[in-house]
Amino acid sequence: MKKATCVLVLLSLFLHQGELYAQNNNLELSKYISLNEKMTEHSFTVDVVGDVIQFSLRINCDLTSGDAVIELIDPAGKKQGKFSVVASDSGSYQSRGKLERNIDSPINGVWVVRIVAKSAKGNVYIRSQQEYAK
Amino acid sequence: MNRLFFAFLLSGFEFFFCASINNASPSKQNLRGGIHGRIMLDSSWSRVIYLSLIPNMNERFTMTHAYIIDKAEIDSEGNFQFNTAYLPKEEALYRIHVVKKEDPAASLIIGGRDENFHLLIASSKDSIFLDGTEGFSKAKLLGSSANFRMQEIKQWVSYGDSSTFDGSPVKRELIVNAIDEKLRQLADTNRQALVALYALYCSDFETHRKNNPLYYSDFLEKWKNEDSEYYALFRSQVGSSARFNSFFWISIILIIAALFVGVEFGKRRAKGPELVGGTELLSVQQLKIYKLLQEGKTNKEISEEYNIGVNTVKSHVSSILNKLKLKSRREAMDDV
Repeated sequence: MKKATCVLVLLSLFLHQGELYAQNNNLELSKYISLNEKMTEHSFTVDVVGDVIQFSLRINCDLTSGDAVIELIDPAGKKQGKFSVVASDSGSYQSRGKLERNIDSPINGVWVVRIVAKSAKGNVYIRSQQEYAK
Repeated sequence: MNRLFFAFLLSGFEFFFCASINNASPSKQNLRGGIHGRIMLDSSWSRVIYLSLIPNMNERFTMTHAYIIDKAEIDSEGNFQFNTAYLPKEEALYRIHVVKKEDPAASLIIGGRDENFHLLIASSKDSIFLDGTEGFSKAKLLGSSANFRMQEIKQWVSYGDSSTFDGSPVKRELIVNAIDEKLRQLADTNRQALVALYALYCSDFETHRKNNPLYYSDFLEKWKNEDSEYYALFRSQVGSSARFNSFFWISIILIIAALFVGVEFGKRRAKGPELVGGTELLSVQQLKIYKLLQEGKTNKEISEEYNIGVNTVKSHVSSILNKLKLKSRREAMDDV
């Protein structure tokens, strides 16, 4: 009994602090990506399934050096947003880019956030939210 | 039905957007020179405004410190001014942006209530006023027809991106397609080079150009004297593709034509004398005599060769010439 309680508590803590969080007809996903000079490409996917009223996406990119191109691609392969962040070579100037998209009745399927980085140091934080019909 | 639907959509956009843009009375314009304006910002924003020169249309959503060319203080009443006398005489694409207090100077926020930038077209001789008294993201650019159009384009694109309309993904797609068509119409009819180009970049031209290369070759032909970096990049992106398409189809047609001619020529060569009459019309005996005719042998020599009478040979030769539609023995020799 003690073990079961412990597992339940740990599981609830994990779900609360982890990447997946579901509450009140909302499904949230978040991802923190640390960019280093070796990493060149990274993708974050969100599977939009069912009767989603609104799909919201926030992308935040901070760089201290190098550059990164970030694209949002819908399940049909069409670009739904794109921005680039370029930091100074010396690292003396930080650059920041944010993209916010709220899409009503999104196309079902896999939405992709594609990050292509070049000699980049910094981080990308992505947060998506799907709101379902009650 | 579809046409009516699109016509309704487009007329709706016209009414909605023109009404909202025209609300900005010209009397509000401040007629000082340069880029200036008045904006209302809450306390979360820094009291500095930045001016960036955007080198090409692909970089309009690129944030880097390297593009920032100037900054100005926003006074307690929200006024700011950039002296633009040092800007190039030619029109170029610029971006003005503000930043949150915790953000670095090179910060770009795209979409949402906190969108922090406006793109504008300016030159050293322009006087442009930014009326941001209803908030920076809702600010209106006054003082030039180019920037009036830029704002119109921005509103169309925002409408397609916005979450304020209900409906299925199909309806959204129809609206986005209608907006793309509207942008292409504007690009086609607008007399301001950078505005026309900006409209195309805001449309889904990368997909559209694949099936409509002529539209883009016509567009480039119209602006062939534009030698700015903006057009140079667009030519490299689209022009090569349009030229490639024409070249590709012309090459395909030429190759097919060459193959057709080659095959026909080959057939005719293989048939040989059939060009004239057709050796299949000749009997076995006539075919033998015909071969000797081609060798230039006389009637007597042929009669001796096959041990037949000269008159019989003459009769065969006459028949051969008729069947092969040859005028003389000489033509038979030339057919070798």
